[in-house]
Amino acid sequence: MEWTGHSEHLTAAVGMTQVWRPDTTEEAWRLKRQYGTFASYVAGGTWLRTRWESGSSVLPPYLISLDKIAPLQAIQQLESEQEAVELRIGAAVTLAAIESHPLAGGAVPLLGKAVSAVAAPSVRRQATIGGNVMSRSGDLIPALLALDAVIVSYSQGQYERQPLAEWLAGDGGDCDKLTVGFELKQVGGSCWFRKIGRRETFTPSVITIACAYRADSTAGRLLDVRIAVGGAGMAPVRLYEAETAAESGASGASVYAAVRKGIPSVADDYASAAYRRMAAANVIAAELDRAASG
Amino acid sequence: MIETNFRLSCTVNGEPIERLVQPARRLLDLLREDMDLTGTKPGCEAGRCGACMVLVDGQPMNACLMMAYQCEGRSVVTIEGLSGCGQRHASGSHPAESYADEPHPIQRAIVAEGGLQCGYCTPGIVISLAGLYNRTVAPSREQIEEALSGNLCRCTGYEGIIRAAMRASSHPDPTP
Amino acid sequence: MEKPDDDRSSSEGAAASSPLNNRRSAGRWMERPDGAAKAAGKLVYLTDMKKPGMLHGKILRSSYPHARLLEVDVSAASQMPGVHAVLTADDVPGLNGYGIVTQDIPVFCTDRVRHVGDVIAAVAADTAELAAAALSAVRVQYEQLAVIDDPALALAPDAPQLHEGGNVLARTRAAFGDADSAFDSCAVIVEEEYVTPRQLHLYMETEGGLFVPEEDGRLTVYSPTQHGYKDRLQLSRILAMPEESIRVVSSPIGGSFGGKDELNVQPYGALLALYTGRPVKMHNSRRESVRSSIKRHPMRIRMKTGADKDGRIIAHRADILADTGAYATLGREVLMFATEHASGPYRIPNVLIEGLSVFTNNGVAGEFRGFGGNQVIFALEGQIERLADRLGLDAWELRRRNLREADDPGPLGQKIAPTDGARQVWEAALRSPLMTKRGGGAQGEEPWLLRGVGAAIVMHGGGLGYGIPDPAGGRLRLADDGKLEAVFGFEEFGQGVISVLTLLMRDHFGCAGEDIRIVIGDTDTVPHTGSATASRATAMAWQAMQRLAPPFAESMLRKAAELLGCTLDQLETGEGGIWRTADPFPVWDCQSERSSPEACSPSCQTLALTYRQLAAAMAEPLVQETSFDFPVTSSATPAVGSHFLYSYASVVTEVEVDMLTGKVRVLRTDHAVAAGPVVNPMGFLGQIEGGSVMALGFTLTEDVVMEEGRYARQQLDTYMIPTIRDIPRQVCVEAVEQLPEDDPFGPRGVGEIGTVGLAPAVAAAVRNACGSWISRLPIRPEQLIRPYHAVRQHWRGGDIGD
Repeated sequence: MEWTGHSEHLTAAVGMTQVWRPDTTEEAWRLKRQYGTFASYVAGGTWLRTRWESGSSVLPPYLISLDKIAPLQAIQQLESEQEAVELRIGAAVTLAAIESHPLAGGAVPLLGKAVSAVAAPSVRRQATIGGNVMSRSGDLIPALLALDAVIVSYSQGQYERQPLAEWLAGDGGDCDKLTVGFELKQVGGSCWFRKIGRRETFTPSVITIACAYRADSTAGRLLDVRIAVGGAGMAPVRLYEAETAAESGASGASVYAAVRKGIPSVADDYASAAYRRMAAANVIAAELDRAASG
Repeated sequence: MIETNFRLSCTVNGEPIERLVQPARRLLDLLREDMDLTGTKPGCEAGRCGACMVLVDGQPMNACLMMAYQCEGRSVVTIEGLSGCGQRHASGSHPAESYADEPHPIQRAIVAEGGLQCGYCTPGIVISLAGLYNRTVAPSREQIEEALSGNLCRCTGYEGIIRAAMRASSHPDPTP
Repeated sequence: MEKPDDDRSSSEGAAASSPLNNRRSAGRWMERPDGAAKAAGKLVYLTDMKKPGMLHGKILRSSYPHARLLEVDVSAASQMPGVHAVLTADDVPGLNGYGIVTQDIPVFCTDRVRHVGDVIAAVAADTAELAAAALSAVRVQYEQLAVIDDPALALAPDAPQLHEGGNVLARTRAAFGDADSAFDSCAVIVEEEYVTPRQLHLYMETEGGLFVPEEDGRLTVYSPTQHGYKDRLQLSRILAMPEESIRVVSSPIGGSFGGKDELNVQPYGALLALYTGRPVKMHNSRRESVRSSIKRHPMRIRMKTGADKDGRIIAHRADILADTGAYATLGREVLMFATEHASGPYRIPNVLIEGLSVFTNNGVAGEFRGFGGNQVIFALEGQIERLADRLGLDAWELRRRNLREADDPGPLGQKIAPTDGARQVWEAALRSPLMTKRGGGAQGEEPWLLRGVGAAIVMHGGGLGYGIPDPAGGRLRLADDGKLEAVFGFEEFGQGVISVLTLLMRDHFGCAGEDIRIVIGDTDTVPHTGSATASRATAMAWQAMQRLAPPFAESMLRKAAELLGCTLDQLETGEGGIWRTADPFPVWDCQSERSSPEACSPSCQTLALTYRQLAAAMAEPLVQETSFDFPVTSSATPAVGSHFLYSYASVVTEVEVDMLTGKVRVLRTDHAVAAGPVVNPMGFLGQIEGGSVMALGFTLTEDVVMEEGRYARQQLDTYMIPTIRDIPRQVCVEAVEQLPEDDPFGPRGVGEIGTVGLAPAVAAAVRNACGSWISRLPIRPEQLIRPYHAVRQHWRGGDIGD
């Protein structure tokens, strides 16, 4: 027996919120440091809006918009000593911009395919790559993982580069860092991306798979295989064992087994962990068998 | 630099707007409550249904997901401001925006083909298709499906909408 | 019913035989009169309305699915600035309860909450934000009680009782012959349990409206409903106000599908408006809508069906267990409908159907397009497929051997209006090119994509049924401005009743669209014509017009003849007014208000008198009214709820199953519907196309999953209705219009039947594609997925296994 308040209704108190629109990364970071948990960074705000609407978080008193910080809106080619072109995508670049940018969606097909699988076109015009990754279950993450992307963050006058895989393995509790962008290489070869959802489009992911590889047609083998999976409520992971199995010329059956081992065990009201494992393993094994057979 | 009640400056249906608003106020509320533009509908308020679709700088976007400060300096066209007459390729403006009374070809096609029943999703559907026709003269079924993948309709089963979109597609606006 | 200028209608499929082609050339393919305003965003929905000085209302609902309500403290909330009223049960002047049949839903709970949508308080404040803040300040003391989240739990002997009468809302029984002993003589018997989901109506416009206290003490309610007069009655009980003091304006409506027939926010908007003396706006968020609205009944249906070796069905048993949630609403009626339809369009000598509808803490289930037919037809058609499989017979042939004849009694033994609809749609299905592929599965574009064809047949009753008051009627009026008014109490929620009435007016009077005014959706102006539910509005409008139009036309012509000094048979109604039919003929002169022979036109087609002129010349307004009841069976002692007018449909579909993911895609559907003459082809087509996509959701993706009485899917980010990418690439609809020559009843409704047959057809197609029997909806990819090695073996020629 207890008194129950109904704080879920408080989420609509929009009149309280103030919006900062700093011009530099440094300013944004300072503001966040000043307001702490009373502030939230916001770029497109699509994911945040869904959370506010659902009551899973409350519209904070301060929003720190990243929309005026020029480097966060940019897609740039980086100087690179290696052969592959390196790319930096600002955290506040919209998915639609990535989709249509010749250096991004155009030149990195895996990223382009992943972006197209997110939500619907209107949402992609507002949602950003940073928001998708910060949600920790966005559909872009498997693609970025397969591309060995690096997450660039800012804190106290310093920029830090960290492999995305490493960042994901952390607990995400480091509020002091502002994610400013992502770096990745345009790798050659082939790729595919597959999102298994609850319906054909605009759906939460049940399991999302990103895969890049090169086919050595003379040897009939696959080289440099990268496979990553994610999905709603699942921590995205690279499937290193499956990659090794595929590179060593193993049959679909061994790849299948390696994939199953690597998929995190996640179940919800829609699909069991066993289903997710089998669906991912099936699709990966079938696609790699097809790739290996030319 | 901090925005409390800030002065929003943008255009809505071609009219320049200057007004004091809360920066986090949703574009949806701005249109429906502050400006009486109720053709933009709330259906889910989370960007999932598309009933509140408006053209922002000529492109369909969800008014429930946009906050007032995000509209700064942009051109917003609601269903009330949409028209197809004569300005498809007029320079300096987005093709589907001419703010007149004449219906857009997609509006005519949707009515002609039974692409609406209760009509509540229809403004959003029309806006999404108008955005598509801004970019693509004779879109394919695939492009139509992509353009409407963020719009839910519970009445028609989409069949009449596809008929309408294909009809508008094969009969593009003849105006130069 | 493909449209003729659509290239998909070419020579293939059902379209070729469609009678709609003729109808379109005869001008029946009509744009909706409300279409242009809707497409322009100019149509004002009731939830778009506002008034100066308006307050915003919000509703506080229970935090728990089942609890004792110990105390509600609104003191803090009441004192908040900008808050004008915080109402609880003490503030209900009349009956603290509502419900279409039984008023067991508390307006405000007093001592107990039975589901998370139960209402505790309502607030009116200056803004929606303030109202929400006030809700958060209401303090409630609950004592949680054990949650009954499964109908089986509700039936346990020691289960907590949700209502005074116990946990059983309704029991039904329909018996013919002796099913149990007839199974002994069957050559094959199939037995299966079928499970169907809790489906959300998901009308795009959530519940809401504007509630206005008028200066004369009346109350105007602008809020969507499927039956304005019924809302008025229910509100009058709650508010302790005479019905005449309440005006309910109830159209236009942004979708309903049965979901807005029961009251929703109206009691709260009305009470808040009366208490504050100011207009109050209510509009549910989607989340509030999911939490509070009624849903389709989840059902667990056990069926046992037996046939002799020739495939004649001898015995059929069904046990239906429905989860009706916390309150009655139409749970009993849905169960009765399910019971009646559980043996379908088949002649079965020995039948025993037993139904049970049980209270739980799982929200509230109620009326939903299809009304219990969807669930039982899925089960029944599944039984037919399984029987055919066991007998080694083609399933469509098995249906033929058991199909009812035109003059057979209805499923409850009642006499029904004889039509050959069952046979007609059975035959129409064979015209689908898909049917030639129905025997075996085929491979799609990848070796792991397996295709199959399935079909199903549906018999669906219209109207409320025998013994349930089901009045109909209508009014025609020649308005002062010369408009021919059709005044009906039906509501327009998209189905096209305005088009139907317009077309019927044109049929009867030969008039033009601009001569007509359709008046609906306002209790101050419309007569009692019953509800827009149960596939009845078109049928009742047609029947009403049959009664109204001839005398109304005669009255107009008689007056015109008098004015023009001619005989009745020289005149007919037409576009713009009264036309002459024979030369020579006088024309009415407005100036002199007399007929002038000199103005006589030499041509043989002359408008002699406009409707406006006729109206102006009338001493008293010309009005014609009728009232009658929905036709019911003439059997001596029919079962309550049994139907008299039935529609029939067949669905043929091809699906593709991805064996690597277990996902099902529906590639094509061909529908045939026998429901009498098509009044409004665009509406007819839209009802079947739209209904079948709603059924697609029921079949593949939709389920309002609940966990311990709480909604696990509360928004459109997790509750998945079909998108434009989920629908079949091709949909054909054929209308079979022929009725027996002496049939006096005209068109039957098609509002619901399109939602029924797809699920069993898809289930059969999946079975034919990959071998798995579907008995639970929505179809779970988990059931169909197979491990890679098994799939590979299959495409190398092995069996995929089940």
